Amino acid sequence: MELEKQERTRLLKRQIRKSFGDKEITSPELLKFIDLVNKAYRFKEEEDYFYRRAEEVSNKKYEEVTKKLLERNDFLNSFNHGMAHDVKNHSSNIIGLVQMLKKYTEKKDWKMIAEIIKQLDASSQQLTSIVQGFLYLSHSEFEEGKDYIAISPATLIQEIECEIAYLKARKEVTIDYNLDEVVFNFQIIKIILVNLISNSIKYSKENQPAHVKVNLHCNSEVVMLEVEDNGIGMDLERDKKKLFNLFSDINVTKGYGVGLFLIRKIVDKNKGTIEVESKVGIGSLFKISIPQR
Amino acid sequence: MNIDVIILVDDNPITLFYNRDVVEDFYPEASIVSYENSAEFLKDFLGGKFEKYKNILLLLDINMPEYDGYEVLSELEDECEYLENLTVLMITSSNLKVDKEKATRFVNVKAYIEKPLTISKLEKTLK
Repeated sequence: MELEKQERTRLLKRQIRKSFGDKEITSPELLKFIDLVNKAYRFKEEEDYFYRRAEEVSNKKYEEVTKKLLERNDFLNSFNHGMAHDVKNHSSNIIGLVQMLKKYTEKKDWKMIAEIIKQLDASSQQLTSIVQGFLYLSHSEFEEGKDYIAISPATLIQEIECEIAYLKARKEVTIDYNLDEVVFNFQIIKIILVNLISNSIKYSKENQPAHVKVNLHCNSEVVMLEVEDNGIGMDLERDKKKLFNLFSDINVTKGYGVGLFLIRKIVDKNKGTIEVESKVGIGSLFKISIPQR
Repeated sequence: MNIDVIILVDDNPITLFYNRDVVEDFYPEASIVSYENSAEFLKDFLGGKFEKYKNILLLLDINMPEYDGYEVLSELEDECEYLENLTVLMITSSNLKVDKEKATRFVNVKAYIEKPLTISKLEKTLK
């Protein structure tokens, strides 16, 4: 910079000598003028440098943002696809059940009608809870540290029981709750537990009552959720990778619907961890821990 | 088309409940067996439980947690000794072209039906 300035000063002096005659430049006005020109140069250089930097930074930022958007887009695509799939399944059931209802109303088969209404009830419950999950996920309420409240075990149990009532109507189920009062985002805790418990009942053994143990504990660092069942269990060696997939990813046709997928997304978003233990014919245990804020 | 037994495989019990009612109306003479679990179906089928039937109709869902519909089909192709008796209808909520193409690769698959199953859809494919 300093060298450039000297060089520029020399060139300017020469140019001035050429124009005004060959004598030593001592006039304070001229020196002041040279100084001003130098300052202008410096200013221009700094400005150029600033623009170049700004361009570099914005390009990099642009790439980062694009990458994030593409990832988000992929996720939303597969999520939408999976959602549509699940919703279609249940809405198809509802359409079919209504057709059945018409048929059996003509036949005045009251026993069958009562059964169909029970199934309709379950279908619409399932449909609602899927749409609920969709709403939860599209909302930002799962962001870390938001909406922390003291969660009373009684309220939590009441809300869980309300959501799984349709499953309990079909199957003999006992649930042992062992819940601490924790301070956390209520929706996160509720949606994780409801989904895990629902799975425990859905994948229970046909010929024996479902028994589910639900634990919720916390210490100063993490909140821990555990759901253990005596269900059909899973072959983890075969299924672990697919377990949290959204089954309807375009090329994935195997999976457990939106429930576990939703849980994984929520846990990931909150920097938590999920552990699964399971044995075919014995049952499964899901352990989730999420850091406190 | 003559059918002796109809097997329904779908992981959703409500779908099974409804589909059973539709096929009952369509083939009142046939016996109907349903499976919520595709692995159990495979165990029974490969174990020869349905060997005695000359005309078997299988209504198969694609998206299932144990074996998905395609895996069921390839297991059947690899292991089953009485495949010539079997007609398969894929019953699914997917309307993806890839799924349809994938399904038609199997010789036993006669058609691909979008949910909900109806008598008229069955008529169109089977009569």
